[in-house]
Amino acid sequence: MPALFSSRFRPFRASGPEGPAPEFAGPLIRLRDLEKSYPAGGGRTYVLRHIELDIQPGEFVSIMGPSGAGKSTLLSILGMFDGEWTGEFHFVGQPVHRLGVKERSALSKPNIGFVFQQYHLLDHLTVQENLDIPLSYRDVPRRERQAMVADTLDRFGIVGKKDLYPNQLSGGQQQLVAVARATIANPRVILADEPTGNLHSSQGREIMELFRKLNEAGTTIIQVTHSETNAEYGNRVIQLRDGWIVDE
Amino acid sequence: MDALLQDLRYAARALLRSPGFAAMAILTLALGIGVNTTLFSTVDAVLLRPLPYADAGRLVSLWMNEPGASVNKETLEALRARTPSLQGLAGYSGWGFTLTGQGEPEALAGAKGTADLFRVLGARPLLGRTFLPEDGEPGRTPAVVLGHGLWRRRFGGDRGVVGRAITLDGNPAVVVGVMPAEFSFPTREAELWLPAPVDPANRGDYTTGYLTLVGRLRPGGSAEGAAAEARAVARGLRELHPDRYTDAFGREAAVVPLRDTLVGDTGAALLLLLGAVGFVLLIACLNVANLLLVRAAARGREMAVRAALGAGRGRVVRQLLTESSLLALLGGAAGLLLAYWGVQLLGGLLPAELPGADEVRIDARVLAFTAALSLGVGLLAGLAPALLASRTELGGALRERSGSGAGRGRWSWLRSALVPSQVALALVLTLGAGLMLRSFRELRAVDPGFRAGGVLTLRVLPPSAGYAEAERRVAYWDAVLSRLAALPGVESVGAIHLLPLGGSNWNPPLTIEGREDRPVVDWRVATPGYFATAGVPVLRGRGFTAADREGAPPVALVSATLARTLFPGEDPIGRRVHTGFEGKGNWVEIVGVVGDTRDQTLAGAPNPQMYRPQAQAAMNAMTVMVRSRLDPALLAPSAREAVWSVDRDVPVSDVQPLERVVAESIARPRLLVLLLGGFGALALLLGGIGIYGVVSYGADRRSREFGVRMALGARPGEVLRLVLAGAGRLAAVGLAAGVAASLALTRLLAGQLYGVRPTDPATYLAVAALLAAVVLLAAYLPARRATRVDPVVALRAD
Repeated sequence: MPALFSSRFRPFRASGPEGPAPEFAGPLIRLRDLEKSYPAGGGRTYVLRHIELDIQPGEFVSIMGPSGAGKSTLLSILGMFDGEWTGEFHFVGQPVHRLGVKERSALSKPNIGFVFQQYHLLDHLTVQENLDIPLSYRDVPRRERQAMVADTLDRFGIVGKKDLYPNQLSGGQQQLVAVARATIANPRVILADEPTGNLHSSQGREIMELFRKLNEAGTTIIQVTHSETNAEYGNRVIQLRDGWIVDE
Repeated sequence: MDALLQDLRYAARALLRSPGFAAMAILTLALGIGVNTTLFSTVDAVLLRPLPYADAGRLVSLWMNEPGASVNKETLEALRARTPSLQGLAGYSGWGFTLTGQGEPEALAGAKGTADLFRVLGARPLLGRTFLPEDGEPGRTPAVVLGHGLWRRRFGGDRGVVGRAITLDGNPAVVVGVMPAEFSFPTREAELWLPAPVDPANRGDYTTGYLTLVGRLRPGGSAEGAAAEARAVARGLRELHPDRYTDAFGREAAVVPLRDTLVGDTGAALLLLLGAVGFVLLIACLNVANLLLVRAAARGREMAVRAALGAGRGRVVRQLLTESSLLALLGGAAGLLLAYWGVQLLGGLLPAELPGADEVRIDARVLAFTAALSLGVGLLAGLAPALLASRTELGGALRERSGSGAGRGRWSWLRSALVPSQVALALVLTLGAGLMLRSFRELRAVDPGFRAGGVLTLRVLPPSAGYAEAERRVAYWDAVLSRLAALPGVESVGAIHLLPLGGSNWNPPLTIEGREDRPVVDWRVATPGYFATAGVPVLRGRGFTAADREGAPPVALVSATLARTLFPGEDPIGRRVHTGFEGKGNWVEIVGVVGDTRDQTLAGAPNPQMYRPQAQAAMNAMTVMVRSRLDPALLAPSAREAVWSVDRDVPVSDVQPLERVVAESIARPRLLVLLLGGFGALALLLGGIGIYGVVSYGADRRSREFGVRMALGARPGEVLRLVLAGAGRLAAVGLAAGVAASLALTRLLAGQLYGVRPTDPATYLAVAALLAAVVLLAAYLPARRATRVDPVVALRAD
C-alpha cells in the first residue's frame, strides 16, 4: 500500500488568512453546565447533561464512549454547528452562548477545521479545488489562495493528485485531502469525528500520525473515536455515557 | 467578481456532472422561455414599439359614431375649426387603384387623404414632396405619393420618378413623391396615396361620409378634451343640418390612440396569449423548482460540508442560485432558438394589415427581455430550493451515510404543494383553450347564408376612366359574365360589389318612405345571377332580372332580417326606400326578400341588408362568383383568361375559392384556438412531467414503507391505490383551485368567445376530467413501479 503522504510533510502554525491568531491566556474551550435535549412524549430526552469541560490550547483530546453517548453531538456543539443547547460555552474567551448565528460563524471560521469519518470531499471538485474552497469562503484573495493551496499540496505531498477528483482517490487519500483541507486555513483547533472509521488500519495509523504532527506544531486536536489505539495518540481522554462525562 | 466566476465555474461543472437533470431542466425552461420570447417579440413589435410616425404617442383616431364609421368633409372642416385640443386633423379613406401602362395591370391598395394627412402623421418623403393644399382641386392632374415597395417594384427604385406621369384607373396622374421604407398608412398593404378631391361645388362629395379621421393632439392636449370638443361640434351640426345628421350623430364621439385603431382587437388577443404563455412559464418554473428541490435534498450533505468549511448561508444560497440562474440562462438560450422558429411561424400567421407584423423579429430588445426573463426564472425557480438547502441541519447531515441531507420532511410539503399548483395552472390554461375550441366549433357551425362549396371568386377592377359611363360598365359586366358562364363545367355566375365575409362594408342610413327613422343597413350591388350562384334563396317576391336596367323602375331586394326588423308585421314588397347612394329623392322599390347572409362576421346576428341591381347602380369593381362542378382551383386559370378576353387591361385579383374567404374570416379565432390549444397541450405535458417527478420521488422515498407493507401481506393493488390516492388528493386540491381561478380568469376571454359562456359547465367538466386523467397517468407509472418493490431489497437498502 502506498504511503498516504510523503515524508516531506511539514506542519506549520504560520499566520492564517485572518492574520496571526491572537494569543489567549485562558482555556481554548470552556463548557459550563452545558445541556442538550429535545422534547419527546410530553417530556424531554437529554443527549448531553451538565457538561463541565476545559480544553487548553495545544491539547490532543479524544472523546470516547458507546454509541448514543452524545460524542458526536458534543463535537457538533464545539464546532458551533448546533446552537440548540443550554449552559455556557466560551471559545477563546468569547461567550458562544450569547452569540447569534452570524457571530458564531465569524468566530468558528478562522479558528476551527473539521475532519469527518466520511471525508465529505466535494465530489465535483478536484483535490486542488477542494483545498481552495475553505479559503474562498474566507474571502482570501485569489493570488494568496493559489499560494496557500500550492503550499498545502506540497506539505501533504499530494501535488501529483491535485487535478484528480475524490472518486479517483483511495479512502485514505481522500481522508488525507480532508485533513489538508481542514488545516489549510490554519485553524487553532481541528475537530475530527471518527477520522479513521472508514480506513484500513495502516491508513488510519498514517492519518493519526499526521494529527500528532499537527498537534506538535501547536494545533489543538479534538477527536471522537471508538479506538483505544487512536486515543493513545492524544494526551487526554474524555469518556461520555448517556450524555454525562463519566471519566477523564 | 472572483467569487462569482468561481461559483459559475463550479455551477457549470455541477451541471455537467448531472447531464440528465440539466437536460430536463434546460428543455423545460427552453419551452417556457421560448414561447414567451416568441409572444413578447410579437407584442413588442405590434403593441410596444412606437408607430413609424413622428411623436406617434400624440396621434389619435377621432370617431364621431361607432369605431369604423366614416364622416364627411363638412364634419371634418367643422372639427378642424373647433377642436383646439388637436394640433391637426386629417381625413383618409382606404382606396383601391388600378395601375396600367407599366407592364401588367395591377390592382393596388392605397388611400386618399386630405392635403394635411402627411403633416398630421409627421411623415416626410424620401423623394419629392407630399400633398399641397391645391393638389386636390378640380381640374388638376392628381398628385401621387408612392410607397417605397411600389417604387422599388414597379419603378426600379428610379430616383427620377418624381414628376413622371402614370396611369391610375385609366386616368393620368403625376408622381410627386416617394415615402421611405418604414412608412405605411393606414395599413401595411397601402402602397400609394392620392389627395382626396376638394370640390366645394360637389355637394355630394362634401356630405358623403367616407373619411376616417386621424388627428394629432396638441402638446398638453388630452383625448378626453378633444372628444368633448368633437361632441360640441356634432351638436352644432345636428342643429344646423337636421336633414343630414341623425339625432345620434356625434353624441358618443370618442378620441382614441391611433395604435388602438390600427391594431384593433388583435391587441387584446395578443395580450391574452401573452398571459397564456406566462402560465406555461410558471408551470415550467414549478417543474424546474421541483427538480432543484429534489437535487437540493440530495445535496444536503454537500451543503452541510460547505457550511462546515466556512460558507455562510448567503454564500450557499448564492452558489445554488448561480446554478439555477445558469440553468435558466442555458434554457433561455435554447428558448431563443425555439423562438427564432416561433417568430417565423407566428409572423406568418398574423393578419397582414397589422402594424408592426412584419417587424416581428429577435432583436436587442427581445434578447434583453429573454435574458431578464431567464434570470428571473432562475431566481424564481431556484430561490425556495436554495433557501431550504441552506438551512440543512449540519450535524445530522454530516453524520448521514446516504448523504441525502437531514430534515427531508421539510422538503416534502413544498413538493406536495407543487402538484396542486401545476394542476391549477394547467387547468386554467387548458380550460381557456377548451372554451376557445368550443367557441370555434360553434362559429364554424354557423350557416353563413350562402353555399361556399364549389364557388370560385375573382375580384375584377375595370379602370374608372375606360368605363366612366354606366352603359359601358353594364356592357362590360354582361360580356364578362357570359364568357365565364360559357366555360366548361360552369353552372352559374354572378357578381357582387362586396363579397360576404370579405372584410369591407358599405352601410349607409336607409330612408323609408313615410318614416322618420334612418336605420343603417348593409348596402350591396349584385347581378341577377349572384343569388343563385351564392345559394342565397329568394324568399318572397322576385330576384333581379335582366330587365332591371337603367331606365326601368329602380328596384331593390332586402334581406329577411331587414324585412323583419324594419317592417314588422308588414309586407316590405312594394315599399319605397333610398340611401345616399341612390341620391336624394330617388326612391327605389323593394321587389323581393332574400335570405340573410353573414356579411361582416360569422359571429352575431346578420345585419339588415339591401341589394341593388348592378345594371341600375353600376359599380366599377365587382367580385365575380363562378359556381362549377370542377374544383374551383382548377377553374382559376381559365376564369382569369375569360375575364381578360373581354379587356386585357383589366386587373384580376384575389382569385380564390369562396370557402377560403369564409375560412379567412375566422382566421383569427382559428389562430387563437391553435395557439391556445398548443399552449394548453404544452401545459399538460409539462404539468404531467412535473407531477410524474413529484410522485416518483415520493414513491421512491417510501420504498421502505412499501417493502414493509408488502412484507406484512399488502397486495400490489393496495400499494398502487395508496400511491394513486395520494396523487388524487393533491390533484383534487389543484382542480378545485384551478376551477376557482378559472371562474375569475376566463371572464377575460368573454370578448373572444362565441356561442359559449366563459363558465360553460360542459367544458369545465371535460377539461377537469382531462386533467384528472393526466394526473392519474402521471402518477400511475411511479405507482406501478412501487408495486414491484422487493421487500427484501427495500429493507436492506435502508
